[in-house]
Amino acid sequence: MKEFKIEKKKNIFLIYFSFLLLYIILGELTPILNFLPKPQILLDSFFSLWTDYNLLAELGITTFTVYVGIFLGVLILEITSGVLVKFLSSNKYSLELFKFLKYFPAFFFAILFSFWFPVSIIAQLVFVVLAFVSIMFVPIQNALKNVNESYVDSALSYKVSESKLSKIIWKDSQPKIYSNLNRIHYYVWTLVMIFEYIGTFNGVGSVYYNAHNYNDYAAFFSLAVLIAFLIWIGDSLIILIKNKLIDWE
Amino acid sequence: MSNSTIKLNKLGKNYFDKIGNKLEVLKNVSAEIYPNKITAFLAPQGSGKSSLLKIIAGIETHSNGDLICNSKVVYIPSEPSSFPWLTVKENILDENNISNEELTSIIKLVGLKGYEDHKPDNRSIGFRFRISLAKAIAYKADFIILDEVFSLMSSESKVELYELIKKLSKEGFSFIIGTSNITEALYLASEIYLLSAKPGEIISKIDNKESENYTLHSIAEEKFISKRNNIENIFKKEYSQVFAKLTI
Repeated sequence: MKEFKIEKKKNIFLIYFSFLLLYIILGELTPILNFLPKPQILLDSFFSLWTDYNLLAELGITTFTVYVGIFLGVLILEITSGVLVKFLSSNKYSLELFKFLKYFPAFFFAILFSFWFPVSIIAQLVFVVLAFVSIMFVPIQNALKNVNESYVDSALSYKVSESKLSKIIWKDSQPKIYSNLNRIHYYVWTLVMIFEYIGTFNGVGSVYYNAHNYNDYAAFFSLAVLIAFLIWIGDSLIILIKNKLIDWE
Repeated sequence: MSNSTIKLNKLGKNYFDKIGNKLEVLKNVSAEIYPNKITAFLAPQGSGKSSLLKIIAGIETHSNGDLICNSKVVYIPSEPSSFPWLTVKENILDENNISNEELTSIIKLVGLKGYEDHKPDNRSIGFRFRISLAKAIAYKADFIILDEVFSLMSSESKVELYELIKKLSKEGFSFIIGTSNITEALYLASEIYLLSAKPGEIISKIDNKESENYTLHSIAEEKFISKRNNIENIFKKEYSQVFAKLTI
């Protein structure tokens, strides 16, 4: 199994590398890819991002708000899990609204929040925490609908307290609740960047805004590749941490 | 371990479906369950056995009749009930405050020595059942209810655990077994209550004291087979009546 996984990773790496090589050859030597920036320009633009757009500081703000926001969101859910279990178990249709809201485009919430609050890092952090907690309500309610009854029945025969029972239900639900954390992580990145783009004040979103204003096509591309790479690293780390902390099914 | 008996007197249980129709699951169930024995409730699946056992364990309430139970009753369901996020040791100590010596002896008793720090996730159902059993023993339960616990196990696990339950019973532990397996009930229990199809009603009580001396070889003996056939005939008669009622 392990060998198969290593083989699979090797193949994926090979595919990525082949595409990169193809892009460099076709982009530099032929006009076929003239709808994309040339590889050399993309590379130059990548380095200029750090100087011209002050990318390091902006990236720091965005990554700080995304990951601290997700961490705080998880912390809030874990601390209030007892209340959540009690409320959601007895009010099965209370979160139907949240189910509908998930079809709303991400930028709607970002714009709405920027209307309500002045642009600042704190406001951005609050926005991430609120967005994350709200998004998580749907998987939480779905998980609570499929609680393992054998745990509950057995616990009830031990005459456990209500809070202990809630804790058991939450523990049983945790793998299901956090199973889509990487997808939500990507969604949070998108929300934050839209929020920053609208605010034009700070973060990677504001770099996008400036690049757009200057018609810096190459910066747009190199930034996208960099962000994709960062989200991929973040994704891998989240899965790693999740699998370490929630190692049961 | 207490010496008090669990008494069920004309116990009934009704459910109501989504449109308010009454569904009678149990009807006039009367029984006396004595300590230091294995008592079985034998019935096909879907006859209200689990509801009855959950009522005895205090997990569900009954709609009518009386239940007199002053004992600590632990319910072990057919699906694994040990928590996968805790180790074997932590599972046993959950809800229990026992000494290290007691813990060690219980772990040894149920055959989990060497697995104290293992987590039960991805382990066999038999392994997880041993943890639940150890937890119930550590809780000093007067009665341990086993609701179809053997139904999902492999044949090897089943045989090992039958012997474990018999051994524990001889040491003074009391078990109430819910099963749809006639051989299992006959092999393990000294008293067997046969339940009818829904609504579950006691149709017969069988004294089976010789079960204490049964070995696995006894299952193939004529006496055992004859007892098994008798029970089968009772069920056949009961269910043909139900079938007749349904077809009319």
